[in-house]
Amino acid sequence: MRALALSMKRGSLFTPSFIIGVGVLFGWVALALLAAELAPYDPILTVSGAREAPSLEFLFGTDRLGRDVLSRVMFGARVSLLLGFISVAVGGLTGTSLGLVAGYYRGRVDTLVMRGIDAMLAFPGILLALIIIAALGPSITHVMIAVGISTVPRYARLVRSTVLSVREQDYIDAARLIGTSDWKIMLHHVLPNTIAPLLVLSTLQFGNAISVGAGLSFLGLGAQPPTAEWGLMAAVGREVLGRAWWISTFPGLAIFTAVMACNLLGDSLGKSLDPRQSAS
Amino acid sequence: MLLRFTARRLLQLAPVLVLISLMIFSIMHALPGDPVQLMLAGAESGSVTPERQEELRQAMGLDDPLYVQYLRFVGGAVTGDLGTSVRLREPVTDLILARLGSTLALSLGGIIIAVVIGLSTGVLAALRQGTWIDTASMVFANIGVSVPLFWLGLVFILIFSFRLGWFPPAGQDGLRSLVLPSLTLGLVSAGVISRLTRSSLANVLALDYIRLAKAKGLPDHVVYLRHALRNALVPVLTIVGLQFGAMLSGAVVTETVFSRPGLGRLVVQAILWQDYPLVQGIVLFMATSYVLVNLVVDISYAWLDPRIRDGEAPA
Amino acid sequence: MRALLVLITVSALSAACGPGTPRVDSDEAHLILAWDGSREPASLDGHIEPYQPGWLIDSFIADPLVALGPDGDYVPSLASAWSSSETATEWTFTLRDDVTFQDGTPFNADAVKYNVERILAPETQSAEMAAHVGPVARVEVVDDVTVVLHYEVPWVTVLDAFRRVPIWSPTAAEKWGLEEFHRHLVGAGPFLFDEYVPNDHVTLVKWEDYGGWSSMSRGGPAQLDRVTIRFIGEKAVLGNVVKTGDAHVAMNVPATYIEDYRDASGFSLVTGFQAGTGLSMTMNTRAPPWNDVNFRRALLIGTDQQAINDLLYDGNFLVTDGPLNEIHPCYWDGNKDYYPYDPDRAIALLEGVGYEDRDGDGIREAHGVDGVEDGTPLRVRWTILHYAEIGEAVQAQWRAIGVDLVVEMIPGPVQLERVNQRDFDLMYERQRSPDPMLLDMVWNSAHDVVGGWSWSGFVDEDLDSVVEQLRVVPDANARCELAKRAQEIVMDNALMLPTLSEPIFYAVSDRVVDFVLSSEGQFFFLHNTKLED
Repeated sequence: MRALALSMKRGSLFTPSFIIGVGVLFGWVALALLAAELAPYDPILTVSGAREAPSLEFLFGTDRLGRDVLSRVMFGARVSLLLGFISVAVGGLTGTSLGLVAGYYRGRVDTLVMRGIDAMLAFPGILLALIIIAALGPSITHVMIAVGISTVPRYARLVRSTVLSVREQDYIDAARLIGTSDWKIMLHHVLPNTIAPLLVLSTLQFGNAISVGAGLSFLGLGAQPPTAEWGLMAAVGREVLGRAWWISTFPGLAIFTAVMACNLLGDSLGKSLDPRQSAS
Repeated sequence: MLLRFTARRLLQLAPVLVLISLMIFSIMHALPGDPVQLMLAGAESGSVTPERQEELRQAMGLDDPLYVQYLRFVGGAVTGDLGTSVRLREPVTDLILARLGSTLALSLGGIIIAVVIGLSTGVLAALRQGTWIDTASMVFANIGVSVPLFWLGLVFILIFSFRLGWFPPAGQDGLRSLVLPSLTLGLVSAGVISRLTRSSLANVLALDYIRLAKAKGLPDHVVYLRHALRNALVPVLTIVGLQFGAMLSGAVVTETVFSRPGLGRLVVQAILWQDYPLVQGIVLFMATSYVLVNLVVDISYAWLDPRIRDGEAPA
Repeated sequence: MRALLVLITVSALSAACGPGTPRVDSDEAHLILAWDGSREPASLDGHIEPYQPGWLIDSFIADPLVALGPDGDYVPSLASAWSSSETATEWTFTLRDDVTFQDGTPFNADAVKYNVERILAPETQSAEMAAHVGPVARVEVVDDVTVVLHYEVPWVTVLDAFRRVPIWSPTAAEKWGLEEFHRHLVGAGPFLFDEYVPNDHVTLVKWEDYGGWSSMSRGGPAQLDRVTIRFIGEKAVLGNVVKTGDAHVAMNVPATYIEDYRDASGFSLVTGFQAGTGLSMTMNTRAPPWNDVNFRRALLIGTDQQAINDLLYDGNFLVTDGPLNEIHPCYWDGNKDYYPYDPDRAIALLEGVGYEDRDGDGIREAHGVDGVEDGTPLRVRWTILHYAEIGEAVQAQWRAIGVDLVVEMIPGPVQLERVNQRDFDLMYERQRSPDPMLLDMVWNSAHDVVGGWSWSGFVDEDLDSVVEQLRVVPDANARCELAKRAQEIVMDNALMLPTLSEPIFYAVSDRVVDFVLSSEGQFFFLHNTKLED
């Protein structure tokens, strides 16, 4: 936390990456919250002919049912951002708790938890989310849960390694000697050290959740019609890709900008907090 | 000894594989879903009696207790029998093998593109640090990492297939149909590899450059570049192994967008069909392959760097 | 290590280069059909396979006993004549005596008996075809050319069943067994089964010794040397494939592409229809306000099917206005103007029932509706398996009359669960058959049981007595009269919401001659089809 405040004071936090990332993300959050007021049309009403090209009246054109794509993209932001939040919350809380426990107690608990984490990491990419959806059935709620669960390993590992590096410190021993409960030690001494890397990870995972969630909806395993969701809209527009490119393109662009913003933000935060970390 | 390292790694593998199979099985059986009703669900006319459903359920062994079904699953898996697909009525193993070539071809294409583009842009960026080439490369890499896979595929189809007509938009008809899917799959990984190569090489260059420059005056770029590159490539090799996982994962979406008859597309269809044996079999296969590939990467990593196999440096 | 890498690369490359499309040999007449990949059959053995596309492929390899011609009449194929007893419990087929299977073995009454028994055997696990064939008590072989099916109950849809049943060679079926036969199909049709590459294609080759025994054939073997059916997963590709010359015929062309072929030179659009209910929504009349006929009528009057057709499909689907669609032989004309679109009248009806929008949010709430708590918003669930866009279009229309429509798309097994628990408002139910017996299936309250297809919960003696006769009266005209009466009752009570009927669009290259559709649009015949230059 201190590192973050320091870099803020020094001004080194406000790189172009950071500014663009925060700006775009903030823009999407604002759009999501104010969609009902800002959207020019109702997202489920037919307002014009089907598959009309972008024009002044309909900046992103209309879809198969003659609905305004721009309005639907705006409302779609709600779904995607909510997905990001819930996935990060679910994965973050679970993963952090697991990592804390594993790293602090070591021994059997650690081995058990880490074996489980290793097994979860053995599923490449979306495969774990995929199989959870297979069991629960296609729905946007299930996607949120599934993506959340699949991010648990990364949180667990990060927190665990931070805990490992911190627990050997003298002040931890001191706290233990005077009889502070394990719980209090974890909460007051260990956890604060994890906040900075957790922030970076969460930012990146937020973007990842949006991307994976949209991908699952695209495959037909997430949001179901007639929800205005970016991945679903792109999937529906696929059938008329050659003649109505705008139906798939704009929702995809929305996902792209949102994810990119998260990555830029996460990278710049990571650099500010640890100059040796991150690749560029 | 490389052999001991390998043996140790293999032993660590076993519990992970068991855990994977347990996870897959328990997730799939977490909620009641009736494959029998599925088989008969598409039938839109004629009434299927509950007795008939019960008959079929027993024939498929769905009435046995869960642990028996699990043991059957694992026992079969070890001998190569992954059960029978409910929808397609064929052995899952056969279905997987029939489509494996397609996914492998796509993965190979993807990795080649990822490595070629990733390495070249990463090296270029590292050599020309601070210049516009560096920034451009890293922006490009960032884009690669952020762009949604399915959208990139659709954009490629739109531009290179529908508008320009250079490549077919779907199917598996020779090498031409492999270009767009591989590009789609590869570009995302290229971004990851590019960033890693740049940072890794930049680090190494920083060290050697100063040393050699001090010792020899004007350094021989070619000689030490090769040396630097070799050192820098070691972590990149690990990433390539991990990217195989990205290939498998990405194949799910890419094969759907490009209508390729591979494992990824099949697993999505299986989920939509609620064909549980097929989903289980494919996911188990993919996860196991990923674990094995990582094992191979670990071993070659150890082979390259003797410090690791002796347990001195972190793997 | 390097050798392993080479091996993997080589196998992957060969996978990249093949299987691919079979190369076209310019000397032979090779017809290429493009099919929607999502309709690829699971098994090519029609006795096992529950879906129509598989049966269509089978019809090229194995002639059935009867065929349904383009005019809607049943014509002889392997059977030259047939008759039924008064009570429709016995059906006698007279068979041709000049037919042999592709493996040389003779076709006779024993072969028919073998096929029927194979379908009904529990090991075959035939859900669909067995249901069509019906409860056969025994098959009696009178002589080589005469076979009698004895049914446990009157069975009036025998012809509709047997136009779809592929007659396989008993010798071959026995030899390969249930597991393997679907890879070694042998029938008595114009084409031999060559190969099936899943997710890719099926290839058939001409059988030189085909005797032209189907009425659909002009006599003698087929005019095509080879037929390939390619499965195309991507709808955009399917829509373009005939235009680009990669196929001669495309089946199930998406509606958005048909204008490309309709008046284009070099191609034509052939439209097939399927008689039946169309994409219809059954109403659950059990709980309020659904038990009020005026409420139900309001919804019907507030729906403009023509507008939906124009918006979504450029008017190319078939507007459906009653329990049976227009192309059904027993369609009742009275359906047409029973509930003309009139949003004002719909609003009046809803207000009459007690639904008003007092809080100004655009959706009506209950105010004095019998059995509904005051203030409950008027929310209707539209539960479907596919064609979500139709639901979305209705959603927009009903918003204008103050109804909040929620579209839910669910998979088949979930639909059955919901139906069994009677947990739905409007449930998608589609039946396709040129026979009116489906009206008994759907509207007879005796079938309102778990596993049955009568879901509305509406009980009416008159309706029940009319439709149950459809199961026992064999005369075609009498059946149609009964069917029309049934439609009138259903419409009067507003028990279902019709939407559209999806046609089957074929894009056909002008090089293809004599491509003949059955009156049931998802079946066609290749016996005489030719490829011209």
